[in-house]
Amino acid sequence: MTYDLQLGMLATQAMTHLMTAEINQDDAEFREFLLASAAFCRVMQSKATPIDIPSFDSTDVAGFVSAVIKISTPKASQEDRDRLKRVGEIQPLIDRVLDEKRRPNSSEQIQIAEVLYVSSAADLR
Amino acid sequence: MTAGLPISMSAAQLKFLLGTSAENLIRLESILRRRQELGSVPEFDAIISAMLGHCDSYRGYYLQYAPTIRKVLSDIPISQIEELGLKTLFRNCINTFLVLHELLLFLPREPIRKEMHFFCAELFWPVYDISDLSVILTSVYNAFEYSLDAAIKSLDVFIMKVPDPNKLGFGHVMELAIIDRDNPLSWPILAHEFGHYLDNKYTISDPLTEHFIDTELHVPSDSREVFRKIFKPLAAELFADLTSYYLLGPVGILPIVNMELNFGMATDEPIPYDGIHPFTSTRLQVITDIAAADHMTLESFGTYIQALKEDEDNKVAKLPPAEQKKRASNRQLATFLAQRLRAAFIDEIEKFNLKRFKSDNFKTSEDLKSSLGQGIPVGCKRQLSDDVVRTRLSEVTNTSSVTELREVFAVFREVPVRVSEVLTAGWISNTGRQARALADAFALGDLDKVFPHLKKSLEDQDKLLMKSIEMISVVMEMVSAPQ
Repeated sequence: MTYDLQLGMLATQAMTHLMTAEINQDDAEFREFLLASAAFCRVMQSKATPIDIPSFDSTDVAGFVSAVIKISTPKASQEDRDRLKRVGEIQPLIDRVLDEKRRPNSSEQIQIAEVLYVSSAADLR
Repeated sequence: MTAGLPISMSAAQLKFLLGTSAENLIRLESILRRRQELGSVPEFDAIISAMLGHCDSYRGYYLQYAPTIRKVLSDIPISQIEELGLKTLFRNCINTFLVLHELLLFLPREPIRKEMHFFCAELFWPVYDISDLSVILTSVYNAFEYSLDAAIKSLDVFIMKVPDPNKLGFGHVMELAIIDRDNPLSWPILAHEFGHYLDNKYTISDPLTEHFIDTELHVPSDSREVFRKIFKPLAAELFADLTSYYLLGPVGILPIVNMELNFGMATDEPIPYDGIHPFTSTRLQVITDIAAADHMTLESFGTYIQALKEDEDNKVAKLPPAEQKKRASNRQLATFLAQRLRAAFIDEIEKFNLKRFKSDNFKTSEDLKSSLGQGIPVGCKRQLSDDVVRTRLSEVTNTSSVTELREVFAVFREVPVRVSEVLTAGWISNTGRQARALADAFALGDLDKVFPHLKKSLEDQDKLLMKSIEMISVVMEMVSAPQ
């Protein structure tokens, strides 16, 4: 089983802010929800971004470094790619709502919440 | 419905997950605090503190959902956002629990409890011998059975250092998840592992499966090997499940259902076929069928069964048709195998002279349940019914001699019950306890008291069952002592 404790915590944090925001109709909590969701997206994307291989004069060294990175970087599964795609879809939405300094409406809340839920699943394979 | 998006849950499933998420956190935290208090050695402090930090965070998140949780407990509908929030909480709570449980590997391993030794000795009598079969705790949230010989063979590092393991006679090991050490309701899983032990030691399911392939499937000789590979692991699991059923009745399968429900929340897909275990719902069906034939029912455990069925049905419905078909074939295959081999497996288990759990035992458990509900340990029961006791007592007169009186008062004689009866009573009683404890805890009005209340309810149940098991051993001694 693979599961990312940090991402799980961020998703739970974000959703807890949303719950509190909904109950208290609190603008500050809605903003915290958006910020925590944005952090979730950022962390997920940074973990999936391939490492840039620096340039080397020696092709032997470059080949060796690239082989080591290939071995030590787990291959992204279809599930991982799907998650990244979903996260990529909600990130502009979160940024836009933050820029507009407003509460997310119900459909935006659901859209973000669904991605947080689905993307924090463990991979049992 | 869009693929990959979450599905709505029933109130029953939400309640089940509310209970189990809190219970996992409480049990994990108790283990960590005990290690901190009893085994206080500084090198483990950092690990324990980090793990407790995670438990604290999730406890805090859980309590922030109190308004939504109260709605669920009162059967008030919740909004889509509230449901998504709760499910995100459950999922991450359970996933974090699974990871932290695995990290318990870094802490010293505790020995198993004396009550569990007695449980094994009593349940597996006359086959169990502690010098033959070690029971230890594992940081993997699962249970296992294996021979040390096989383990050593698979460890490359030992190949050059030990003599041929086949000649060593190393014996066997059963492992139980660390979290289950203090939870007698999870111990029935050891009966499944004991089934594997019998099967491996006495080679039972393999030849019967070979016979099944030859006589029932009539496969061409060049494809027999493929069928062996498919059916043998399935048959071994069914044999282990039936051993557990033979010893404990319907509750033998419940810890597996509970475990599956925990894993189920971790992901949106149904647990895939691992090439060894039939789907848990199929195993549950096999046990339900055989229990019905033996005049026993799993109705008392409806919460678990409903939650499992709902979880699987929802997830399978989202799979592509080809995948659904594959799962259906797998289920059909395992069910067919179970139907054909069930009787032969039970006959083989019968040969060990183990104590079989029958409908009478189930009836006793249902009677014991009310005492457990009142907080009374249930290690023994009166030998005679209340009616007989009343009749005999009414025969006492003013002129009865001391000898006559002694004979009459012997009607109060108590006999030990079986550990299987205690655990069945415990499971029946637990089915409603979790929801009741949650409702009571959230009715207290003070969120700081919620987890202490749930913890007390859980610990009271564990202690009551431990005491009941211990009481069996005491009453057995008393009954066998010369009068």
